[in-house]
Amino acid sequence: MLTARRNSSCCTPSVPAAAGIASPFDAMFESLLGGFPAVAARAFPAINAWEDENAFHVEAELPGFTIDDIDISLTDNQLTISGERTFDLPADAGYVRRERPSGKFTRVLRVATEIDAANVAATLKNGVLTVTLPKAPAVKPRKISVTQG
Amino acid sequence: MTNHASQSCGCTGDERAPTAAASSTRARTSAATFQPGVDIIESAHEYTLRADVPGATADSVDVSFEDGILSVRAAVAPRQQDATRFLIREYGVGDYERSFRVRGDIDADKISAEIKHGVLTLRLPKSEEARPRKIAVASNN
Repeated sequence: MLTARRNSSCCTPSVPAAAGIASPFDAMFESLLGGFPAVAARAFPAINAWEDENAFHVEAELPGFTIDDIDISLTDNQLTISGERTFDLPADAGYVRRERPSGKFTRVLRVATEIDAANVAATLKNGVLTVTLPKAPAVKPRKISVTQG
Repeated sequence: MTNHASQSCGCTGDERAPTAAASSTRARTSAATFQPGVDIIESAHEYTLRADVPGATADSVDVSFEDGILSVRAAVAPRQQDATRFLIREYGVGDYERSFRVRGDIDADKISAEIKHGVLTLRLPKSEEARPRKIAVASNN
């Protein structure tokens, strides 16, 4: 199983608040149309995870990031995804609306199943990170062939 | 963001919050529509709007400017099958849609759009009249 520690995430916005992210409007909109439970306190990045026979899959939305901006590690059954997004603002310009989170983030997921750590793979495409955590051979389901007695 | 701040930019958001994208001519690719997070930056010569649209590509994005309304749409197809059993599900995947009323004086013909790593960047140059001018001061000496 995979469990997310929502509170351990530390996203430090470089402005007081990413207001739009937490605005009641956005939250309402998603809970009405999204068809999934609204998350009370949003951690960055939001994570989806699912499992199939051979692996756990973790997906995170990280727009604007390149693979060099992201650190992924697996130690003691903890998958850690961390990174930083910074925005450059020209000297003569100013924000008139600011909703996109920036700064450093860390998310830690607990993996309670043995993972084939040597074969963990990550891809980043169009701002979507996918980490594949293959299950260790010992915990994969096995087909037992039954022979006719 | 407060109303006060958004008014000073000449852009107000969400005045036409999409209702299930009924007005979209684009074929719907998924059940849900989401509002992307947006930054708007103003400089002397232009507004720059950046929207987080992870999963969207140049082919999937529609930008229009009509009657002072700037609309952004991006179609995003589901990445997992309906039957996927999620262990953690903190976000949904679907189309993005958001509109802004632009009250500032912009040169609509010169709006440009670019998408990279799931971030859409729109540049809205201010019209000549709206730009600050340097007035040359003649010397009388």
